[in-house]
Amino acid sequence: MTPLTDIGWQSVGSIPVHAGIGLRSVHQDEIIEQRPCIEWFEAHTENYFAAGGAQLEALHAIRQDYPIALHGVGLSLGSADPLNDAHLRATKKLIDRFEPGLISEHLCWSSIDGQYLNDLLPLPRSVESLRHVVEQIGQCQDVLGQRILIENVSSYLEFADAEMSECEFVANVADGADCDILLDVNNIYVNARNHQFDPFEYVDRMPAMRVAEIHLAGHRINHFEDQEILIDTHDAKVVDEVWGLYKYTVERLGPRPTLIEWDTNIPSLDLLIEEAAKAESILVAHR
Amino acid sequence: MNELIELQRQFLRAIVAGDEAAILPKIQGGRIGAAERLRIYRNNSYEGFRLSLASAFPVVERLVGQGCFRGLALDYFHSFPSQSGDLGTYGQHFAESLRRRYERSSFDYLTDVARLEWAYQEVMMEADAETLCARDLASVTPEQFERLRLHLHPAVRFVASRYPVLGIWLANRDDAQDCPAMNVHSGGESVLLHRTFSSVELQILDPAELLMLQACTAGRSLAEAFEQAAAVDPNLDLQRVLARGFTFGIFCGYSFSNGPG
Repeated sequence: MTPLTDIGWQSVGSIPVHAGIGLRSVHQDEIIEQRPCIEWFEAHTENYFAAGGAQLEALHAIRQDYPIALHGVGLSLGSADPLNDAHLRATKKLIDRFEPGLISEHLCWSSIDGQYLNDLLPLPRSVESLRHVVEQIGQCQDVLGQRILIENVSSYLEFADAEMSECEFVANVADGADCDILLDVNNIYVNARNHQFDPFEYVDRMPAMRVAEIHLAGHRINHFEDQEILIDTHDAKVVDEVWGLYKYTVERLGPRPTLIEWDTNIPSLDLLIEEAAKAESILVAHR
Repeated sequence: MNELIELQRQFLRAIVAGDEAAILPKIQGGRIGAAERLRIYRNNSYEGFRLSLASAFPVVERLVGQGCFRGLALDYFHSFPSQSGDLGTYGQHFAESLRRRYERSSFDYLTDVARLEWAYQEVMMEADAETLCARDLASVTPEQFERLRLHLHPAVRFVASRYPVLGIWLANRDDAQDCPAMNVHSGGESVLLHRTFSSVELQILDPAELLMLQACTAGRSLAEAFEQAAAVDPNLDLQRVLARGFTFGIFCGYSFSNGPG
């Protein structure tokens, strides 16, 4: 497989091929006041569904100086329910207002019959499920008027009788829906450990032209008697093994906008900047 | 799509109702059993909902303690399932859930604290609008004044309580020094919540003032609203209510009713 580094991507949408940081409310004032040297931010779409007020004002102020990507967690693209119109309309409104460089959602489901678990639940990897989620992503892109990225999620179980591997499922969905991929390298690592597959082979089988963004985050190890399972907690530093897999991903697929995610027990902005600098050094080395 | 619907319904039933019989055979076991794997998802969901409630209702959590709050959150999860992919709306029925549990008990006041905290959330997220000030009404003639209707700013809420709800809230915020013993039966408080610049502010309202502002919200003309409120408190001072309203920025526009002047 040919690495795409020689294509020389400068940016994806308005998002530069550099390391960015997940935008969290606790850091907003500091960012607005001090304008730290960060290349771009990713905001959780639903955190800005308010009609008005301080939260939107802060995003507006940050948007003046930084490129922003929107990352949704609640659209439930893989649900057998029809897409939630109100959720889509609210997302579209944010896109019109903030002109994000990238818009992403998760390849998962979180609701059925109108009831939400507000969690990123795994899809069965069947042809039926593939066809359905492809159709939903198509509808979503039609309403939003642009391509989206779908993210591979961490999972703690797999359904029996899978008709394809996880990396095949992700690639087939992106191909069928003609959307891009947000490749979460930590999620690949977590799933590889949880479900016993080779994470490097997973990366090898990603369609490089569709991978438009990379996520990095920390995880925890839970123990069940003498067994362990990795949980995607977004509350710690990226571990060495994931940095290794990230480096491999950049080598194979080429440099891509890369985001440091940290959602609970949120540390100082400085620590996030340090993590982003680590990602940046890997991106620069492969430019 | 029958299999997908069925699988998602069975999964949800396992998480919500603990009914795992149908979904377990569809989950690959391996080193860790299917039931344990499902439990991870159950915990993730519960924890997500609990944290969302705790962030919207910090004072209720402080009043009841973390252990009890966990139970309330679980109870709420079952009585008012989430209907949205936006967790920001999740707590909208929490006060109602507390009312059902604590009505006619000595913890009844918790319902009003929750109403106040949810009103705070709503005010924080409501739409922006220009506020009205006194000089905006300079051109209103005395004849028009009789038919004047003031429009309440979207980011305004009222919470009326039989309990000193603002006092309880102030004494139990995270930044409160300690939690002094309070007599929850020391008299009711009516609270106005509004936004000044970006922050939410809370003011105590007289009962008549509350009545008048609520009548304005319901679309009554200022004259009608004042008349209704003055019937409760003949000493109600219209100028004072308006001056406070302009200071707090609780009006965002005006119009004239069609009724007789």
